[in-house]
Amino acid sequence: MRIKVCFILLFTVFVSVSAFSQMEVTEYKAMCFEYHKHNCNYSENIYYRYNDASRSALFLKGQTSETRLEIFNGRDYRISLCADEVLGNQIYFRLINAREGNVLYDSRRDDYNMDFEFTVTQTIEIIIEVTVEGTSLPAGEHGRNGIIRRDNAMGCVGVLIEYMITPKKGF
Amino acid sequence: MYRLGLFYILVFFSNHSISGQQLNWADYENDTLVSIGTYILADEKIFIPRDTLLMNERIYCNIAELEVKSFVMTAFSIGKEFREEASGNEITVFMKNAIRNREINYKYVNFKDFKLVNLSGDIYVPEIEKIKVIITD
Repeated sequence: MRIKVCFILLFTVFVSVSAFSQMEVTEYKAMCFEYHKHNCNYSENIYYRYNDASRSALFLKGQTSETRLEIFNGRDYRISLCADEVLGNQIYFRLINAREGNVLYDSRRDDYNMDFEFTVTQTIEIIIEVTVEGTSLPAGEHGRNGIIRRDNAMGCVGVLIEYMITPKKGF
Repeated sequence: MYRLGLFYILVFFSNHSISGQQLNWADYENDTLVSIGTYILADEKIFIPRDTLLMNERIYCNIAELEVKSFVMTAFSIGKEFREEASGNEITVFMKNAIRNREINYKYVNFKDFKLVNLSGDIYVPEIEKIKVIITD
């Protein structure tokens, strides 16, 4: 009987803890959900359309993350970044040819510009690599791997991608 | 005769409002700014038609005693980059070729690092130090 009670108690505690953790993860996910849609600046050009490859994510200071995009010949694209103030303003992105590995654009060379527009003349797949400069606080006294301090600066970063058919010029 | 007069008045006023790009330096009396043709670079982002950029030869300053000593123009496209520093106020041939090139099709150009100089050789910088000029067709 006693064992049964202990078992039920343990089970109840276990379920509550995991439900609470799920809620925390869900809350973090919810924090950045569609962040790019509501925070990034859309183009003033009415011909640009929203691209479903746009996304948002939670970033730590000092973190780099990437996402892929196929860009098509005959289209113009606009990629713009937005981020929570807590991450600072030293955020940059690079566009890398996924097949050849060469860097096609680095926003650090463009004075950390937060948006970039271009015309595509050849269909390729690119990697959009976003980096939040800075360092996170050290993991702990012994610097154990796999531990991230809860008081590290964390914030949402949004990548808004828009596209349009390249306008024809001339007669 | 009356109708003709009315017609001329209408034409005069409609032309006056259509042009819309006349210099209005009076609004920026206390600021040190530069301009490309009639476009006063009074904001960090400005829209200028490609033809207008190509038509204009020089960059000017609103303060009579100051002239543009040098500036830098940069432009970026996917896989392509352009950077040139001009000595003087002239938009160089290389800069114009970059703007004109529809194959690369730079969507915007940056004008920055302006140095303005007076007769005594003192160096100044404009209020807006870097301007992103979005090229409209």
